[in-house]
Amino acid sequence: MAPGLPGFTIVGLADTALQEARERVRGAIRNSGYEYPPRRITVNLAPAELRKSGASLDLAIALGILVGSEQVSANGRWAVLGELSLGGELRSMPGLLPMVAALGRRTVKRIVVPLDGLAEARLACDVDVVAAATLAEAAVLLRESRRGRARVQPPRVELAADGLGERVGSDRGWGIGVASEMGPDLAEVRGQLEARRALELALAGGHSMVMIGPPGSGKTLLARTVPGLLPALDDQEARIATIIASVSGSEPLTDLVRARPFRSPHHTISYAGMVGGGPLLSPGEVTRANDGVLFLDELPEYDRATLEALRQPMEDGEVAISRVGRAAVFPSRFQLIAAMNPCPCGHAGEGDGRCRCQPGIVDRYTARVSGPLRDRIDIWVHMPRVEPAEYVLSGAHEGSDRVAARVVEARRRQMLRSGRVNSRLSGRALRGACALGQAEQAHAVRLAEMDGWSARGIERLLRVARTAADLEGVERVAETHLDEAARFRSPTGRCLGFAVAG
Amino acid sequence: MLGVQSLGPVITRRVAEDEEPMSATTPTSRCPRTVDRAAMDLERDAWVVLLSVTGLGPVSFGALLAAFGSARAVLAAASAPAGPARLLQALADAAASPDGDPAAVFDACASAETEAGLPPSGFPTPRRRQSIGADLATRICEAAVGGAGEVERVRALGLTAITLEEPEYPARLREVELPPPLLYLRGSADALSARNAVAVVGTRWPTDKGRLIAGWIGSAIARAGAVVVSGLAVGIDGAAHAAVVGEGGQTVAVLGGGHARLFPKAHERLADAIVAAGGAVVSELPPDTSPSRGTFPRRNRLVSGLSDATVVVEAGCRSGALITAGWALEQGRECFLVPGPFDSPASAGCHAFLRSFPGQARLVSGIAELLEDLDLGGGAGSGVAVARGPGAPKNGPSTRQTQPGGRPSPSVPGAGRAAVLASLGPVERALAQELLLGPATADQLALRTSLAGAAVLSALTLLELRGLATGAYGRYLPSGRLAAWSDGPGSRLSE
Repeated sequence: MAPGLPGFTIVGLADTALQEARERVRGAIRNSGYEYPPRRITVNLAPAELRKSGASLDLAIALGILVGSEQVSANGRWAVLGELSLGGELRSMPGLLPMVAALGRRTVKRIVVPLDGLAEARLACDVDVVAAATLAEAAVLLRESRRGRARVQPPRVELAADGLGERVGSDRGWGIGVASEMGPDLAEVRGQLEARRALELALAGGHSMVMIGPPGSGKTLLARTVPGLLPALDDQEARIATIIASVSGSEPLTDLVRARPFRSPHHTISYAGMVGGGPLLSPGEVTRANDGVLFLDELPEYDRATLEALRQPMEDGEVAISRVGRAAVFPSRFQLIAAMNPCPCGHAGEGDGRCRCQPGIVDRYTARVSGPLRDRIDIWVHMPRVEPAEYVLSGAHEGSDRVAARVVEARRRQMLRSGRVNSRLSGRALRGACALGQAEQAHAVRLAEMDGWSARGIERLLRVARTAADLEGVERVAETHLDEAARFRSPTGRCLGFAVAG
Repeated sequence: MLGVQSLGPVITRRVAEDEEPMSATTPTSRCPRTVDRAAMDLERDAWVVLLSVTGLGPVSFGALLAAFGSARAVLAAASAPAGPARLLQALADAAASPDGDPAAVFDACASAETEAGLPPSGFPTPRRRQSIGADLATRICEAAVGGAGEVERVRALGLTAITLEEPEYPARLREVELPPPLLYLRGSADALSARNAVAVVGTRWPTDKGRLIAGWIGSAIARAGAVVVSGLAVGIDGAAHAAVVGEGGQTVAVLGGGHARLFPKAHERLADAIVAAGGAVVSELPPDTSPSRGTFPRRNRLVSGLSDATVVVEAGCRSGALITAGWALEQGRECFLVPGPFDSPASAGCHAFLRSFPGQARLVSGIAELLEDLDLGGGAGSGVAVARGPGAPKNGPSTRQTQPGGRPSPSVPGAGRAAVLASLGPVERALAQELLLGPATADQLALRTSLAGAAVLSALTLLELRGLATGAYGRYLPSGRLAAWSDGPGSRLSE
């Protein structure tokens, strides 16, 4: 703050939202009963070379001006976060939780946050969070130091602690489905014996899955049962999910995110929307689906580049986004579940001559999903149209609760054995987990030779077979498990492929 | 009468592999034909070069051949200085001479249009064009200079060329009007000249039932020792080919494009299987010709021409299979059509054809009846006994090691469907019998057999892995020995 013509400058690579802080701060100060100093004000944001964005610094700028003009006095070391309105009210903003947590790690122990973000900020531990509803309240808090509001302790997660290993596999966090929107029950899906089984396998082992079927065969309905079939997040997963939700969410959180994410972006999604990016390096759908399911309906309709971009996140479980001057690594351990029509008209294979798609067109339609991506999909299942008779006559199907219980149990077995789900096993760990006997090895080779599989194809077979054994609750993978895994192989390499065409 | 074509002794092109390479110095005592073997090879290469020229159809080719006496002479003239002028001059001279009727050898057959109506009406009338344009002459000269490349290409693709002048050229095809001058062949040449050959064709968009019937007919004909000819298209064609391959029989696939542009791509493996089973894949087009709208009707003329009779399994109103049927009648071959429900769009073309050609087009009322009509059903002509009684043992699966006549090995008891069923466990057998009634989804099977879902799935897996069922788009069809025609439709179920 310097003498001279009244003015207000923000230096340090502020973006538009931050530049506009000038107007918000001026209005807020005036409307909170303080005087806006008629002096030359310069706000410096350090470090100078890092681009700053957003409105979270409003409160800090306003309080800085008030302290600088000696209208308010501060006691001790504080951090203040919040966006100001012209009237002086405080608003929360996305990413509050990780900001508070980061401040906590930097030994800033007292933090003023907007009132509506209090619950979210308190999910961080080891920090003294106090809330203010307005700029004036914040100024009072600053002056009065430790005499903040009485605090209630919500359940917390040890943000700094990394010793979560022993907790994995314990019974905590293994309850079923706490999702708020559970979707339809599996019993509501008619028929589709094969697809039900495929879905159970996929969820139990975290395998990526593609459903192929004509319109109206129930692909989307089946996918929407997924949230009700998945176990809740364990503590470590919940911590990550909460931070991701905070960064990408529009509403302040009130509690830890415990429901497994189920994301179903429309096929018009942009590249950056899928993998993350944009001006703020925001996480994309692959990250928001971390530890959960990414459901892509009408798979071939997605932009090719967008689908290709899924490969690396699927393989590595994280996605590295680099932009000029900045880079970020986001977790992306999602399970891909996709649905597609067998051909552009959707009626291929209905056996009534209705599909008139040229064979070349059918091939091209499927080829929109590139080979490398198809290679990463463990389970393929066809969903034929359900005939009216089946719809009416087929008996009661198993409900979500029973399938979910089996999924939970199978996942527990996997975590106890190798600390990860089967879909994340490969190489020696996978072979060790399968523990194939002589006869089973020979059988696996036979199955693989039938279709001329690559090494990756064989791994896929073993992974799914391992999950089938886990669902049955046996430690050794038997021939029947291998057979079942082979049943859900990719349709492109079926042994009697020539008889299938057309 | 069908099925017996008077064929001279067939000298297969395998000779080139079986005997040591010959040269002009080889003693001529072994076979009188070996004298001009080298010359014949050169002449054949010249045909390959000439016929690879874009725009040079059978008519112009015939004109050139008549003017110069041999393809080699044409190439020699074309590669000399001022080649185009010499070609044109020679053609003009030949046309002027009184007995110069070069187009008599080969006439226009390239104009078969894809008119959608019933084919015989649209049958091409021979056009007599005896001269070639200057552009074409230039292209011929260019090909003559760089011609070795085309011959190399054919060889590198493992193809054999058969010219109309050679004895290996299938006699049945030679008989038709306007036979293609050159055939490019992959596989065995004797499949083309088998004693009996029947074309099985149909729509590319069959119903499941049509697919099954195509398989039955294909396997029944193969077991009766005849060769099945078809067009390698998806749908009925593919089902017929696959059934024959499943029987280990010989089948001939006629391509609508060149060998290097195999279409449809989805049937590349089927084509390999056909060749491996002793059959042949054949085309009249140079290897790098892309299939196009016009090439398929032309191909259909070969399908019917290579066969004694043509069977259409399913054909919509505008199906190309009807063009094949029309060609068959035009070529004086028999033509059979499988009827369907009268309101079925997939069979509408068959019905219309039957109605349009009373007394010529014939109805297929059953597999056994078809074999009888084809003179394959155990008559003296075929020399093959095909049992038609229920439960009778069927012939063995392989005719691969049979004589050039395509005669299958003697019947192997217990190889039939009953034996297959008997070898299955109770759940698998129940499913197999259910599948024989028609294609079904896993849900339908579970519903009809009242078996538990898990049991159905594992039994289906077993059937599929044993090759007795095929899953396509979630529906299961019998396949392999379960799909082969066995006891006739009336006795499909033993329970």
